[in-house]
Amino acid sequence: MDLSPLVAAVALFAASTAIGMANVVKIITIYEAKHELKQGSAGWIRSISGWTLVVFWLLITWFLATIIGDWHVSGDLEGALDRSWLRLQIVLEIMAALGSD
Amino acid sequence: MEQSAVSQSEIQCNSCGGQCAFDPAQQDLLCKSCGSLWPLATEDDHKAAEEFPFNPDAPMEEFPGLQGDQIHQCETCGGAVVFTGSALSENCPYCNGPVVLGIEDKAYATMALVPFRVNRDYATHRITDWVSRRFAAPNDLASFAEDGRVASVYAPFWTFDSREAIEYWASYTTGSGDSRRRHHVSGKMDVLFDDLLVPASEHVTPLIRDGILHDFRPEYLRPYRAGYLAGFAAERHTMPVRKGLRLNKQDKDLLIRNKIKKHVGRQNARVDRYRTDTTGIHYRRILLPVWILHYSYRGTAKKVVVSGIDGRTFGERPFSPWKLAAYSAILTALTMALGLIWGATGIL
Ligand SMILES: [Zn+2]
Ligand SMILES: [Zn+2]
Repeated sequence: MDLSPLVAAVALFAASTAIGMANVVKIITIYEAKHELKQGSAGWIRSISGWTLVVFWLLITWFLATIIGDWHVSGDLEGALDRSWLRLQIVLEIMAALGSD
Repeated sequence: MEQSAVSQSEIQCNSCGGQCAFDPAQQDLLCKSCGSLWPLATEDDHKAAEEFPFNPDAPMEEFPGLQGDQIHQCETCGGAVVFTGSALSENCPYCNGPVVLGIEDKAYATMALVPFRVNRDYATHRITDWVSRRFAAPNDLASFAEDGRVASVYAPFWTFDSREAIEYWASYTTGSGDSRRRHHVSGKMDVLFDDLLVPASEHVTPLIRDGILHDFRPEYLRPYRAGYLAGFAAERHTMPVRKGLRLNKQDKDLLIRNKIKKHVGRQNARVDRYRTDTTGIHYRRILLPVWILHYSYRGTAKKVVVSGIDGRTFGERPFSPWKLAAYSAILTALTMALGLIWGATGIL
């Protein structure tokens, strides 16, 4: 059995966990802003802005995981990358829609 | 406008001659020696909420005057505070640094203040509660916060009113892929700002203001007098009104842009530019009561601030890297599980 997809999954898990720490701070900041800052105030607007980065992080992690899942089942990395093309378009489309914020 | 005549006689007990201090629970002066209560309310108290016009094109000169108080200057942050009555503390209420008797300095007359309504016990309780409810905080945070010092201070603020006649140019996108299009719109709107609170002190950040001062009630304002200050520190107003307007510029810009986005009514609206004609500026120079906890977490100074009006609390806190990593790992694992299953089933 080819262990490469497993290695890739572990690498993705480690990288995404490390990158995600800043996003967890952002999630907590947004949660605190919603509960503790005056709604509509300047501090509130500043604190909740930037939530799209959290979505980007999760979308990219999800997308890369789909390729690894496909690769693990099919044993064919190039085929998995080809099949991810449409998914990639959708992910980029969502990011573009959020990014013009 | 009452010129600050901080008289020692006003805070001396009429029956025993002892020192009185303002009592937040009673809203009166309480004699520390014999326990007599001396009322502070007067028939003219409502006048404290009065606002003053300001014309930026022809700004009247404001003349800072000597106020005849004993100034305590902080050696660490440079803050100038006044202690009315017996000096409570040799520490700066803002940064906990040592204060020394400073030279008499010029300051602007404070028009009004909101007296403390929250006492030390309640403020301390609110701080403990706030600290204990932080997500991903280090386990030893509470014990570090317990070692901190809680200080009270009347912090200087302005309130600003203005009418903004705004003309804007904005854009938003629709569609996706090749059919994505950017639409340009322009419009006009009027915005009224009422009692925008602007800190007149470098010690109170706009973020902390937005955390602790949710609904400002002008009817809580009282004339600036020694009786309300007795037993508390007060920072002086040392900045002219035009500086206050300048300090508020970024916040006002952010608020206006946010209102324009709402006016355009599109989720992803972008404000390209706007013009505003500001009229009817009115202001007050006031003091607002706050309790501040200073604590140091592994060498970093942090503070938690409680509104002395209603006990709302906000502040600075550290994060535990391990807990952040754990939360991040959980979110990553869930997201990856979804992705792996998705990819393995070959849905799309
Ligand atoms: Zn007495
Ligand atoms: Zn200081």
